Amino acid sequence: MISKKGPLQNYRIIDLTDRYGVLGTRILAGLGAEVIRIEPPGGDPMRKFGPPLENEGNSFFWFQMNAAKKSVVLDLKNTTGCDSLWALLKSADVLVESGFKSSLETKGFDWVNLSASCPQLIYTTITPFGAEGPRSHWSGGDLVAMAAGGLMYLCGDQDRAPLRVSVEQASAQSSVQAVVGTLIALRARKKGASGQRVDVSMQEAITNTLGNSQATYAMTGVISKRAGGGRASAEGGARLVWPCADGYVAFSRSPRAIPLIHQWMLDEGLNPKFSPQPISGLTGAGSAPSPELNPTEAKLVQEIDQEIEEFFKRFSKMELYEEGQRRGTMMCPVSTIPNLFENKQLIDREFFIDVEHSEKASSYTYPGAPFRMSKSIWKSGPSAPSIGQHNEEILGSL
Amino acid sequence: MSNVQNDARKIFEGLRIIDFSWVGVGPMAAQTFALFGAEVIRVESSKSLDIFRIGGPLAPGDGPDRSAYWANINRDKKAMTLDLKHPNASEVVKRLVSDADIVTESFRPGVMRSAGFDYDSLSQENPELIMISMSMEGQGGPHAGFKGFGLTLQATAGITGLTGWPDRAPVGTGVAYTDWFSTHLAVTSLIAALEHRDLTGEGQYIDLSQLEAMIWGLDDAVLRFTAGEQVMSADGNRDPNACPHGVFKCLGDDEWIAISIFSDSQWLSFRKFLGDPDWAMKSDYLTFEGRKENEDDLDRLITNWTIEKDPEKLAEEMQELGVPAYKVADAKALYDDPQLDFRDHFWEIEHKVIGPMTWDSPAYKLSGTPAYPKEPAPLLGEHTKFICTELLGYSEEEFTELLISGVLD
Repeated sequence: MISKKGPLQNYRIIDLTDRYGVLGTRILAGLGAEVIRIEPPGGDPMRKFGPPLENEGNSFFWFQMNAAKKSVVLDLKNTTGCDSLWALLKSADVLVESGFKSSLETKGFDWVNLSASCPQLIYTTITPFGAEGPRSHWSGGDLVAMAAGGLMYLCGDQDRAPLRVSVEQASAQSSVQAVVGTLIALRARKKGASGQRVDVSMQEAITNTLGNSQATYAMTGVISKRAGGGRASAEGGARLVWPCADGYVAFSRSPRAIPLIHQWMLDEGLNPKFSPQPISGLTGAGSAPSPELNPTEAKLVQEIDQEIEEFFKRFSKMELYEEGQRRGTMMCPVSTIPNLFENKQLIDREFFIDVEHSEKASSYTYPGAPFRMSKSIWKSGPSAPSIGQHNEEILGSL
Repeated sequence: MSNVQNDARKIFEGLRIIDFSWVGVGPMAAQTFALFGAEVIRVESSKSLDIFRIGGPLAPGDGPDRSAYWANINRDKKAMTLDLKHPNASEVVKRLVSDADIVTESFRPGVMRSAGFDYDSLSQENPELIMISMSMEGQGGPHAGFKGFGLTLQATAGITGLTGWPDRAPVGTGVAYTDWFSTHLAVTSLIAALEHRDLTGEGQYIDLSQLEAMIWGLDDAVLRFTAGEQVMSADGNRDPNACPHGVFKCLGDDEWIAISIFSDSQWLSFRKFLGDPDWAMKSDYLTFEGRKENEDDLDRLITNWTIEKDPEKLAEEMQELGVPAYKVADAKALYDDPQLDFRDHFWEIEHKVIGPMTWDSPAYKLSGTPAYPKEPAPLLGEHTKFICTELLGYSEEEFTELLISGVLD
C-alpha cells in the first residue's frame, strides 16, 4: 500500500531559506516532511522575488518553491517571536537556513545555543563559501559561486567571457547537496548521533560538478577550457550544438555517428559528398580528448560538418530528435521551455502535473515528481501557503 | 545498535549496496553511501567496460585501472567482475542480492529485465530490497531507449538553451551536467526509501529519469511558462535583480573576475573602491533602475578598468569592502583556493595504479560525523574472490568452478 504521507512524514523541518536554498526544503516537503516556513509579518520577501503570477499576489518563484509547505508568521524582532521560534526548534528535527548572512545568529540562534538547547536538531546552512574559513565572510550569490566553484570557466564560447547558466545552478546544486547532507545527518541520528551542523558551501557544491577537469589537471597539468557548445576539455572539445530549422539540436558527431548520418542522407535521396569511413584522429564529444587532427583530417571534418549542418537545417529539432534517435545517434533537442511540453516522453509519462490554487479556484501546471517511488508518494501540493496560514495549527500545539 | 558518534563510517554500517550501475550518476550515488560507511559492491563486466574506465585522464601504461575520472567516483567500494549475460549469472546475482539492502543500475531500460534482474525478480526472496534505475529518460515511454549522456541530455532538459549569449547559439555547461544534478536526487530517493522501509518494513523500486530530475533545476521557468506564458531564455551573465552583474576581463591570459552588485549600497562601496572616478559618478547609476538602463555602458566602463588588474587581488580588495566578487577559477585556481583548502575539499589518497592523487569530497560538512578519506577506488575485479568466498559463501572449489565457467569475466 502506498502511504499518503510520504517517507519523511515524521520529520519537522523549520525553513528559513532564501532563493539559494529553498529548492532543498521544497524537495524535503515533497517527500512528506512537515516543512514550516517562517515568515516575517507582512510575508516573506521571496513572495515578491521575480515576476508575479497575475492575480495571485505572489511570484512564480514563490509558488514553485513553496508548494507542500506550511507557513507560520513570527516577528523575530521581538522576544515573543524569538521565544516561539525556540519552542518550534525544540519540536523540530531540522533547521535549514541559506543566504550570505545568518538572520538568526544575531538573535542568539547560533550553533552553540542551538545545540545546547536543541540537542536533537540538525542545523543545515547554505552559505556562499561555508560557515568557517578565511573567506567565509566573503559575499556572493549565484554568479560568484559559479565563478569561485570552477564551473563557469568551463562554460561559454572561447572568444567571450565565461558564462553562468541563466537558471541558477549554484543555488540548485547547493540545495540538492544540502538535502543529501541533511538526510545523512538524520540517518546518523537514528544510529545514535546527536543533532549536528550541516555546513554547505555554494562554491564547493559547484566544485563537485566539474567532470574530469580537476583530475585532468592533477594528472597532466593541463587546464580544461570552455569550448562553446561542446565538451570543455584540454584540447578545445568537440562540437555538440548544431542549428536546425527551428532552433538547435545537440548531436555528438562521433566516428560512430558519421556513417549513420551518411545513410540517413542517402535515405532522404541526397548524395552526401563525405565518406562514411572513419577518420583516425576523430573522437566523439564524450570520449577521451581527441589527439590533434592532422590538416587533411581537419579539412575532412570541416567538410562533413558543413554537409551535416545543411542537412539538419531541413528538419525541426523534434524531427531530428525522433529520427536521429531511431537511427541510433545521440541526438537531442536543445529544448526551450515550451519544447518541454512537446516532448513525447514527458507527455507520455505525464511528468507535468496540475496543482490547484485553492484560493482562486484555479490550477497551474508544475513539474511532477523528480523520481518515481513505487511505494512512496511525492507531494506536488497543496500550493504554497498564504501568509501565516498555519499559525494556529503549529503555534497552538506547542 | 552501534553508536555513530564521531564516526561517519558508522552511519551506513551494515548497509549493503549492489552497484550494477555505470558511467556517472549511478556510481556517484553509490559512492555517497560508501563514503558514509555502506558496503558497496561494484559489479562490472570486463568484456563491456564502464566507459569511464577508458575515458581520460589516464595514468600511463595499460589496463582498465588508469582512469582518474572513474576512480574519483568509485571510492570506498569493493569491485567484482561478473558477466550478467552468462547462463550462470543469475545464481551469483541471487546470492548477491539476497542479503542486500539496495540495488543500483543505470543501463538502458530493459537491459536488467531481459537478463532476468528486474525488481520483481530480485525482490522475490528479499521483499525489503530497494532498487533504483537511473536512466536518461525513465523506464517507460516512447523515448525510454533513447541514447545520450549528460552533455546531450542537458540540452533536452533545457539547461543548454538557458546557457549562452542572447546574440549567439546556446552553449550549455561544457560538462555532463545532468549527471552532477540527478546524482543527488538519486541519493535523496534512496534515503527516502530507507526511511519508508523503517516505517513499513517494505522495500520498493525507484524509476529515476535524469531528464525529469533535471527539470527541477530550472528555477521557476516551468511555472512562468504554464501560468504566465513567459519564456525564460539565456541572458549571458545578466541577472534581472542585480547590476552590474557580469564577468569582466582582467590582466593575463583568459583571466576574468565575476562581479555582482545586488544593492545600491554595494554600488556605492564599489564606486568608493574604484576611487570615485568620473565615469562612475553619473547620478543615473545611483539606483538599480538607472544602472540597469545603462548596463551595456557600465559593462564596458568596468572592463576598461578591470582589464589591467589581477583578478585574485581585485576580488580580495573588493570583498573586504563587501562587494561580491571572485576570480573565475580554473582547475589550478581551485587547487590553490584558500577556502576550498580550509574545507579540505580535495582529499589525497594513493591509488594502486594511478599513485598519489586528489579526489573530490562532499560539499556538506557534518560537524559531528564529517566524511573522511579512506580507500581509493578498487581495481577491476579486485575483490571478486573475496566477495564470492567471504560474502557470498562460495567454497574455494565452487569459486574455482565459477572461474572456469567464465561467469566471473
